[in-house]
Amino acid sequence: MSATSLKNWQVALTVVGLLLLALGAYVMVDTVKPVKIAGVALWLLLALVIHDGIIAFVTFGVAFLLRKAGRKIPIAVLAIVQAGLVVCSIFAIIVLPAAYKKSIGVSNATVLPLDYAPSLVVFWAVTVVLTALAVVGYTALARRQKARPSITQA
Amino acid sequence: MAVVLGRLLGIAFLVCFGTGLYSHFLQNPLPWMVFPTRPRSLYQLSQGIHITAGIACFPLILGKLYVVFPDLFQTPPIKNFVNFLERASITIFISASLVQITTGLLNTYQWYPFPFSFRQVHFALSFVIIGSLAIHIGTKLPLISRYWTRSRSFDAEGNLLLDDADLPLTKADVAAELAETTREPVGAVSRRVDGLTGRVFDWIDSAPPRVDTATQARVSRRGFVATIAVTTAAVIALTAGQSFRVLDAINVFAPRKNFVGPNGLPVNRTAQAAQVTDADTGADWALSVSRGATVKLYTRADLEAMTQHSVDLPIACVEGWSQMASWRGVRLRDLLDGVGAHADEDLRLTSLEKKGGFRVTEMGHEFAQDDLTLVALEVNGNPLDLDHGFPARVIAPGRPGVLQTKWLSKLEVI
Repeated sequence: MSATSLKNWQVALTVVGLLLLALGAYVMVDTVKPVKIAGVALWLLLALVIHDGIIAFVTFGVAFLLRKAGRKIPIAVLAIVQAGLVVCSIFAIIVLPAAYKKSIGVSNATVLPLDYAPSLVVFWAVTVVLTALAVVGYTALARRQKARPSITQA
Repeated sequence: MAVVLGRLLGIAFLVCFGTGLYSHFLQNPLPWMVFPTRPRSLYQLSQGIHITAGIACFPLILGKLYVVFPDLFQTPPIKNFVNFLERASITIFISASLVQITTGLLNTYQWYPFPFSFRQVHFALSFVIIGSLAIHIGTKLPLISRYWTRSRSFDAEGNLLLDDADLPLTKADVAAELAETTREPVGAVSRRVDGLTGRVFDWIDSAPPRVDTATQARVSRRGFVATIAVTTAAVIALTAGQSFRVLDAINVFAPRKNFVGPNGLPVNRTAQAAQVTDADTGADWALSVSRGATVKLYTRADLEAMTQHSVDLPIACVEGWSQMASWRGVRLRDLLDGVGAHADEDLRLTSLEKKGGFRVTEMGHEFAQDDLTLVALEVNGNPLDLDHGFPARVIAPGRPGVLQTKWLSKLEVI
């Protein structure tokens, strides 16, 4: 992409973006009562607080501790454990609200009919077992490769 | 990595936006709009994709935010106007999209703990999200363009090729830049470690970087992308069964389950919620069909005496769940012919329900005249349950469940 065409695309995307933002604001003002718009603003602010104030700092803290304290752990093992943690956390974010809503009551019996909390516990257990197996498997493989004399190609 | 995840997230949001607009205009059509009625599962497909892609946005957006989170702590917070535009648009995008996917997920199980109406705000925020996304892509376009394809991002050995501008400054870089700006001799460069911030950063930097070699970097990078991909696939696999029968057997986390409910079908709005009682639907009930001054009344026995048709159509809810069912009843077109309706005339439908945004709805002529559109009296071999619209309801191809009017009372040609 040439510099001119890149610039044109940037301007076009920015203009389209601004127009869509204006349309969104218009639709909001046109269809939602002012007091409810204040509610939307509050939730938007809460989302930022949760992201910037909680998720980002927890992530920063975990990354920081791993870097500082995890020097003796092979990077592949660290990646496997992190993968397990990510899978468990994201399913918690998606499933826990459903489990909670089911516990406080639903509008009819066909809404949230499944056993969300027990299924999540089973899912976590399976993920932990798979993560542990992957770590054990990787460690064994790495040890065997280390023990084997290296063969160089002529 | 940010470009890879950003590309997937962008696609997911655009898919949600497109399918969402389709659903919105089906429910709120502009006067000139005509909609396709085939394939008969079109809405099941479009709305199933809308909800599934929305749920898939959780791992994608959290993965993307994780990759770019160091940018949150950039100093100075705003460098120039373009940087301000970029940071403002991304702030709006993060905030609006987190609210959108969270309230969207809660809506799938009819939970409204937020102080605003879901439908209107969901619609308005969709423009805000796509608008801020367009601005973000615009400001990041040079970077996106640089790392868009694999061949431009990696060398033959699979090592990431970073531009100089994308690499952090080393002490040697700083010394070289200083040497260009001053004639004074430049000594060794070291970090200032006074104050709390200086000491903390010094402590962090005193550890050698975790990623020492190109191979380790590849393991770390591929591992993270694979993790997000596996999580996204797992989230889809374990929830999409509410919309797509093929995944029903492994549906363990979706808000709805196929075959659970009266007549073997889930229910969105019960008769009790709609304040429809047995008294409303008893022997006195009759369906009124009118065009101008011509009015015909049909009791349930009258409807049962007419030619009955059987069709397989999904009940596809705007909240994402769908289930195919076998319906039996009178073809709607036969009833409209009875009052002399023309093929290009639309229809107004009124339900017995006492209140609600969909008590009175309209149906375009393309649906009203379709062979598959029925005034259904039975589903899955049994009379309609009261919660599924007894004594009669509409079922048409490619329409959202909220427009498949239950507890029919009046049909007016308009």
